[in-house]
Amino acid sequence: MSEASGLAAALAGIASLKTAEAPDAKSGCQGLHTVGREAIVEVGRVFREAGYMLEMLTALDMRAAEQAMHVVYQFNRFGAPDRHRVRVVVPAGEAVPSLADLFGSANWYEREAFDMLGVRFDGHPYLVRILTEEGADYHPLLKDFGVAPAAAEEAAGG
Amino acid sequence: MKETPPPPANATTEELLTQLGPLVHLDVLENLLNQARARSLWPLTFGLACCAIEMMAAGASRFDMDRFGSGVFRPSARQADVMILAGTISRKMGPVVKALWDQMPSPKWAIAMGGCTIDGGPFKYPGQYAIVEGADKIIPVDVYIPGCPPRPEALINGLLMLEQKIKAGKKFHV
Repeated sequence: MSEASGLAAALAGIASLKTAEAPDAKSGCQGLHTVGREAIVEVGRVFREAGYMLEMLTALDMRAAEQAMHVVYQFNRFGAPDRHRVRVVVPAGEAVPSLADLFGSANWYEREAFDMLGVRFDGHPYLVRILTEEGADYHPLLKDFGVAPAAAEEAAGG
Repeated sequence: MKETPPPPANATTEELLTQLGPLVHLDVLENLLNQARARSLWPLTFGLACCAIEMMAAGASRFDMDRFGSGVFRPSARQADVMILAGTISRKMGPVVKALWDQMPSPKWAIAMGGCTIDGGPFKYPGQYAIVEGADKIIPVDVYIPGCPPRPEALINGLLMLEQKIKAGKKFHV
């Protein structure tokens, strides 16, 4: 219990972090937070020091509504479940600080978010595509992604 | 051996050769080799997706592909005769599969196992970005086995069809 309250105190110390009133029971999240992108490394360090793991990292294409991408981090721990979701709003085309130094799992998650949605992560040791073919020049999960270029099929050996 | 009438005295050399057939029969050796090739198909050890599970089942004791000489999965492309494409070929994997195929020595054959390797199967839609729509876009395929995934019996049937194709002796192989 003291661990959890320590976490809450540490999170309260981060100026740009806003926490939602009610937990999201549907997704099992005990805490829903929004934070400025300059503070995400600090948030990651707080969770890391409290013994949490980075459970999930993805991005959302919200450019149509608010000209921004949302990067979503989900932290959880072994033992008593305590899931926290942290959302960072990034203006379209701008980069987010990388968590790869804090969490090993962030390395591939960030590469995936970059590959699928084109979000760049500052300070990532090896930010190259992870799932799509070599030489691809598209980000397939963007809302305005239409048809894969025909050239891509040829590159696959067709 | 059937009797052939003697050629007319004024026949040209070309007519003589046409009537008598080839003077040297390399076919005999080739047919013998094809019999051997058909009965000891060594597949390359690799699987791409869920079809590979059925392929492993076909190789294991219950279905036992070894009964047909096809159970000797080779871990090196240099020793393999047949490539069993078992599963979805993603675009990222496409060039790798092509490289493996190029590393296999001739004569070599390919079996497309399952819907994904036939034409992309359930992952095919206009504008998809993830998969190669059919193994024959990358390498020449000899036998197509439909199914999702095909049962081990179907794979064995495919291997037997490939054996027939090899024993037929035509220059099918690459």
